[in-house]
Amino acid sequence: MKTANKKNENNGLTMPYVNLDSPELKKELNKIDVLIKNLKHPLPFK
Amino acid sequence: MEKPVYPISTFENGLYHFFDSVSDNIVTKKVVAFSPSTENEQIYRLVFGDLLPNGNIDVYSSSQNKDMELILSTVIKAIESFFVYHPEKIISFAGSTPARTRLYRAVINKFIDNLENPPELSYKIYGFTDDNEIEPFQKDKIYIGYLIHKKNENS
Repeated sequence: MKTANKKNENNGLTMPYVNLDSPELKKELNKIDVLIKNLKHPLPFK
Repeated sequence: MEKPVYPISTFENGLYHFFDSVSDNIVTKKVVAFSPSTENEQIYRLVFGDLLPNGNIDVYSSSQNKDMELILSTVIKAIESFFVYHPEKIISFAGSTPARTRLYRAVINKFIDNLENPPELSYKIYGFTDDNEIEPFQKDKIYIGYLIHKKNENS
C-alpha cells in the first residue's frame, strides 16, 4: 500500500534519503518541543 | 490567481516534499519535512532546508538563487499538501537563526496573503511569545515560533 501511495504521488519516483537524526537537526527540532513544553497554558486547539 | 511554485515531489503521505531551487548555473535540492513532536502527538515540526548529498538537511542555508518568492510559495504549497493528508494535525516551526526567523515570518505573512484568494482554505495561526504564551498571530508582532492549524467545521 505504501508503495502504491508513493507511485500515485510521484509517478514512481524514489524518495531521496533524508536523515532527520543528525545532531544539528535534532537540536533545532528540540527547540520547537521546548516551546511547546514551556507553554504556560494548554494549546488553544481541541 | 495561483502563485507560481517549483514542481514538488511529495512522499510518505505528505511528510516529505522535495523541489529544486534553480538559477542560471546552480540547482539546489530543497526539502520540506514534517516530523512528529515528542511533546504533543498532534503537532508536527516543520523542517526546511537544503538537502545535502549525505541526506542531512542544512537548516541554516539561505538561497543564493534570488528566487526567495518562488521558494516561499513552494514551502506554502508543501504546508497545504501536508494538511490535505493530515487535516487534524498542527504544524509548528521556529527560526534557527535570526535570518530563519525572518524567513518564517515571511512565510506566515505570505501564507496569510495567499488565503485571501482561496477562502475554502482556512487556517488558524498562532505565535509563541518570548514569555511562554501563545496568541493569535499578529502581523506587526515578533514571535519566536509559530503554530498553524487547519480549521474544521467545529472550530
